[in-house]
Amino acid sequence: MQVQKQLEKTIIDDAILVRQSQRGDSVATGRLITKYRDRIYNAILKICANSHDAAELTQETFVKCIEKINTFEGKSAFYTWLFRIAVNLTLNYCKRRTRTRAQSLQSVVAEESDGAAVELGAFLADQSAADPAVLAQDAEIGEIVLGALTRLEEHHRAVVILRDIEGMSYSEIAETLHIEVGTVKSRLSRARANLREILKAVLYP
Amino acid sequence: MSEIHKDIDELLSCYIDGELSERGRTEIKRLIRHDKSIAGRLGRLRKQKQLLNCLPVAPAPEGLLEDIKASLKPKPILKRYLSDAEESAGARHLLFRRVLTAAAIFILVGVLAGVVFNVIMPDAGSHEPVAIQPADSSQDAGGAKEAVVESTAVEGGMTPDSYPFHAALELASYNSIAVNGFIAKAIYSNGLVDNTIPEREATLSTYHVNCTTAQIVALLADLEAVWEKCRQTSLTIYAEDRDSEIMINNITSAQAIAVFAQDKPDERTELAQNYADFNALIRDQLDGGDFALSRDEEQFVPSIPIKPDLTRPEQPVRRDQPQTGTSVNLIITVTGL
Repeated sequence: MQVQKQLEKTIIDDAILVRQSQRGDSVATGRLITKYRDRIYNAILKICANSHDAAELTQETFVKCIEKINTFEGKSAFYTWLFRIAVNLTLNYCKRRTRTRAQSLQSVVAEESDGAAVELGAFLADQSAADPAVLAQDAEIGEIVLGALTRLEEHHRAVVILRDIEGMSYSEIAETLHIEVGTVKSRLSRARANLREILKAVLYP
Repeated sequence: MSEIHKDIDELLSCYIDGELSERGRTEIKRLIRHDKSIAGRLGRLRKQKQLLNCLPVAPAPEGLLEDIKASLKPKPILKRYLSDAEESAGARHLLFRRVLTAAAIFILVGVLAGVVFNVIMPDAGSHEPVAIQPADSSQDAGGAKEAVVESTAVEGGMTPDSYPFHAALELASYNSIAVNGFIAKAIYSNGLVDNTIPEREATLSTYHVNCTTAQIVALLADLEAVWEKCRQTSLTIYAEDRDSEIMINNITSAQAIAVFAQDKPDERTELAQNYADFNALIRDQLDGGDFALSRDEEQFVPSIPIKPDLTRPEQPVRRDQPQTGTSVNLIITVTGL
């Protein structure tokens, strides 16, 4: 209930800022950018796995958003609309880079220490009660997980990130990616299974 | 079997995301209780989700806002439009600067021409314009040397400046060349070359003479023979006491000498007025056909003063002679008929 109220407040705040931005209020536009820049940047970074590319794609996302802000009719939430732009831009961009990333993942994992891999394997096998927040802060583990994400198909990667990292509901994901909710369910399920297989292959070669 | 696993995985995925209906949740709970492998899969799925959810969040790069603003600058098509506009504006500015430069050059040339003109041209400050009396057609019918007299008073005429006495002598002749020759010779013989500024045009010659009344008297005495060659003569003097002009038409040489021989302005003015009236009377008589003067009228005719010794041709004024008398500015105008 608390989360729902927070979500509604966010939507209302965004609607006000968007309306002001549509009237040419640069301050409101700046506030929208400041509010979402970290989330957009992180989502893009986790999809493309390159900070430089992520920075450029984030900038491109906001530029496109501002240029088309007057076409936003408010039928969906602003952040859903914004994420749609970001994900579409990033997926299009990553189609040309997938093979390179997949190859680099193999080399990254090969260089990781056994300790991190074992710890991560035990956690994912539900044989360890380690705190996932603490585990995720380990740079080596983070690198392995992000590397595994990049090996997913682009559409699978997107739904996993939008759900597990951004915390979007199925309907919001469907809205963002312009797909049915049923498709989101099946796609997410397959994406998680594939990710598990990828990690298993990396952690237990 | 594989399809069943896929369906169970999808249900488990929806279960951990809280996207299942009440009935679906109940079904999954029942499955977990009875199937340890499904419970294990659910646990691994949940751990995987937790791990992804806890991945560190990297801050967006610094200056992203500025980069976005920079990217929102005008598009090339707008730039091209602006460039064209700037070019046309530049052309207008260039044209304006050229016109301004040309105007400045014209002004500079004009100023320089004025300076050069002032440097090379003689001082013409004393050259007063002289009004020429128009020819009277009745004189042609009247024969030679008819005395036609007219008196004119013009308010606010010649204004004295450097010389207290101003006068204009106008001579109209069919033989202006000879008249000019006489005048030039008289000016030379009276030592007034430095005091005279001559001006010549097609049928008009003007002599601006600045000297004393005594020198003018001597000059006029030398010019006595000139009168015989003139059809019309007139003398205009500026009457200082009346602040007006007196014109004596058909003035004789003797009358002119007499006027200039007067030292006092009021006497000079009075004498000039008498001559003007007398000559006008003579002209009226001629026009009326009765030239005979009555005794009273004869008494009115002013006596012509004796030509002073100074003006005799055989005794011309020399440069070394003392120049006495009132300063005078006389303009002699010779008009060819």
